[in-house]
Amino acid sequence: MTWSFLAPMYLLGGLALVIPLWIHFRNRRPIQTYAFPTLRFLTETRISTHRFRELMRWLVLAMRLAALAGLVLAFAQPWRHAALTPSGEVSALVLDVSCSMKAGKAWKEARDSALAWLEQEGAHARPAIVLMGKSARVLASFDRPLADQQSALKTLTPTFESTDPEAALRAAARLLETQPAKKKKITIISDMTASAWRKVDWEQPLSPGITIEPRAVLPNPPPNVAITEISVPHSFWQTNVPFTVTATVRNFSIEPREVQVSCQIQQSETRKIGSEKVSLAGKGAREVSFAVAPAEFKCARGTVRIDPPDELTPDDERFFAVAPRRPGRVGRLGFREKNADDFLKAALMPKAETADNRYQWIPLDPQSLQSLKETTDFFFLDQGMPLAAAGADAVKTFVAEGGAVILMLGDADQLADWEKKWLPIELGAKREAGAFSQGQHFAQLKLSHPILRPFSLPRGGDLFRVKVRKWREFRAASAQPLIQLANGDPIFAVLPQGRGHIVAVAFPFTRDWSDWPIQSTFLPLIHQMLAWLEQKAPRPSEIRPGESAPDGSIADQPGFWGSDQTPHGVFAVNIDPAESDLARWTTLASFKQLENPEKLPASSAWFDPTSSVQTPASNNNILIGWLLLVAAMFSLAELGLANRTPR
Amino acid sequence: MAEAPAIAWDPDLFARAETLEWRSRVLVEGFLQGLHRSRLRGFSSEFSQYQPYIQGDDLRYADWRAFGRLDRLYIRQFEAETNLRCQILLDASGSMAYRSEESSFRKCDYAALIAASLMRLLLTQHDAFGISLARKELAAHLPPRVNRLHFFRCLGVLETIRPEGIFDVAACINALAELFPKRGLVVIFTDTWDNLEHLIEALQRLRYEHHEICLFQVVDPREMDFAFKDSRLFQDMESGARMPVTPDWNRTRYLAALEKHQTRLRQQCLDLGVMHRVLPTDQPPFEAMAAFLAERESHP
Repeated sequence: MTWSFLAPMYLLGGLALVIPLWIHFRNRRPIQTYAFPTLRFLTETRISTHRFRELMRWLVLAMRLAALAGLVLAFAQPWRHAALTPSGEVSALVLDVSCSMKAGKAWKEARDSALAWLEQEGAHARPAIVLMGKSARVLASFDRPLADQQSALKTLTPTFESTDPEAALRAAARLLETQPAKKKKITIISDMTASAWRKVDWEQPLSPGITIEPRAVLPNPPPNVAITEISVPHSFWQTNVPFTVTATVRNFSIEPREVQVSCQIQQSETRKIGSEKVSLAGKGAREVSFAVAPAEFKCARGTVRIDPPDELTPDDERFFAVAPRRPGRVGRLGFREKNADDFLKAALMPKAETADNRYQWIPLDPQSLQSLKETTDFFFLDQGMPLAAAGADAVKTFVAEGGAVILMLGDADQLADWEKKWLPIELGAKREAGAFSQGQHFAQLKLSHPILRPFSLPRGGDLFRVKVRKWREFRAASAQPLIQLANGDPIFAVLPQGRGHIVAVAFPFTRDWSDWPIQSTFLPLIHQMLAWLEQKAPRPSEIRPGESAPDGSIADQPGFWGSDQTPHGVFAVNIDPAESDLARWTTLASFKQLENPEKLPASSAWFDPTSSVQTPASNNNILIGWLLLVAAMFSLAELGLANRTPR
Repeated sequence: MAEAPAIAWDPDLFARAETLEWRSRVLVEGFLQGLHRSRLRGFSSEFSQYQPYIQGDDLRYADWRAFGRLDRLYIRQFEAETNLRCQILLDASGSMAYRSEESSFRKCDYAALIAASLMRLLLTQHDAFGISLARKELAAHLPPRVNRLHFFRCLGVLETIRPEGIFDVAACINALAELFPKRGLVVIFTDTWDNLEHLIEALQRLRYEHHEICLFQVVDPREMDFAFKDSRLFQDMESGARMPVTPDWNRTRYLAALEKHQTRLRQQCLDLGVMHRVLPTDQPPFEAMAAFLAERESHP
């Protein structure tokens, strides 16, 4: 058995051992001679403490050194590994335990292959086993007895996690780096799903001297049909609003398939929503929608599954949790035109002050915009609104992080100073159509845009009837104009800004500028615009097994999980859709690229094992704990001795 | 140990010493009229005894009342009052050169100041005084005299003190006893750290000669409390022997041994009728002497 260290850089901390040595020898002055009238009373004591004092000083030094050495060794994470094999080789096994290994007999083949590998390699030395899942985990280090490794392998089952081959490979390479062997080998046992191995950075080779031996299991992937995606646009704000569940069913085999897809909702009791037979072409996909009738609920847990499920569970079943959302919060900042305020308030809160409104109309205080994100989802802003630096920064941050601002241009000839620095808009002249009864009509509409799509049908209303009397010219390079006048002046444009959006409107919503606020298309367009902006707002991504839940816990399998951090206490966890695609990574020759020592970067900083390897509770941790305990004990002993040692 | 300063005689100390008074407790044998009782008969107001008249006696002292009653002539005799003869013995061995950081005087300098003050006091009383320096043997000896010039000679002897060597207390006191035969006052300044048995035997010898003895034990305060901190190699100032000492560990035993020594010394002095006084060198010299004399007067 020899020793090496997982974090050898911490051994540099051993230089700190010089400090107590320096202190010791600095304080080690030659003992001073002191003339004293008589020694008769001292001689009578017959005790010479000088030698004892020297002994104590050396003991204190030893304690200090031992405490420091214990700390340094603990931080360096000593790693006991096997002696070299007769041939000077060490091996590490990277075993795929991702969800795709549940397909068919993949796991049985993989485990048998791993046990055979262990028996073969264990004849000479103890190898290490690294598990490949969402992250890399060391199942057995080099110092673990062979019998333990075998029993750990036998009880191992694949997880529901996705696959990150890169992390597992680098972790195994890092383990091998700690071994003083001339030849190092990594054996990979995996189903080699292309979706996972495609993500490996093949241009970054492993450490020199490491050879890779890939062993693919499941030579003939079974035909697989899976639900790879589920979408529940739940932009409702009441409990009795219908919603639609859309599931994507994908056929990963080349053979056409026909499956039955059903949906059910679990509330106080399970309610079957519907079932549909879906025919899929080879490598084809289809979306299946289920309309859920209005029902009073706080949080509905739903499941879409393929009936009957095949052996390739659990991608035949996906979960979703929906809950009513709160009303959208629409703010207004700096409204000079009271009429505009009235029109917008009437459009957004048609039910006056009752709580059933889809949106809330919230006046914003320009002096307290710091908590903008907590008080509003999007807000209307008058052009030229002066803001303090803190307020301007709050608005910029709000948009940069995904918020939306509807900027209404108007009388002001110039943008405010903070707007000039922030907005990529160039203001033009204020234009008028002429007499009050006259006006220009909308001429060019981009009806393909989601905001205007409902107006492409006759029932959506006629936007061409809107008459604009006055408007402000503006130009923005990155703007996407949705509505333009006949002369090409943009009236309604969308500008992406950071992760959010700015919607620029060439006039305020008053009758002095246009008759749009009294047109029937005004209210639906405002709602359509806000719904689109709401949809564009960043949302938390779906949680996969092995990832952190909102409350910080790890959900290790698909299903419904409870959390205090989610609005209604429930969130759904689904497997990575990539795990359903069992297509093989066939370019096994690419593994040779990882072996090329010539491409090894000069610095090894590109890989930090401590960030990707989750070492399970093992002898290593126990040893580190003992080292820390010893360091603490020596520190205490040093304190005690130092206080008792005579000067 | 810091370099000892030269002795600076303090005129103020001498002036204040003149205000004190020393009365001998024992009968002394002086040769001048003085303040102290003598074992001889002389002229004073204190009646001593009757003596049958012998032809030639001064008839001024004949007791005529007794002659009238007894028809025999008696001569009244009075106690003689003579001066005191004082010999000061000052230990000038190496250990008397000690001065700790907390003290202003070396022990020998402090003893010299007290001795000079005492001599000044005696000079004022017209008592005779002499000075002896003691090491392995008497290094200097001035017999008692009563004059101002002698006082300055004694001061000169004190100024020449160079503490060194050992103090052979038996040899020095025996030699002093030979040189100082008449009963008088012997004042000894020493730290008593030498052989206590020899010191006691020497004191017995002096008491046998009917001398009044004052033993001033001059000590440095650091010797008494042993309040050292750092470990050091202690070197005996007389023998040169060395010993590593860790004060924290040795203090208790040191103080116990010191207390044992002091108890024995006090007891022996009490038994012999020797006045024993501990003089710490951090105490102002005049105050030390005045306190001693006041205590001496209150406990005759």
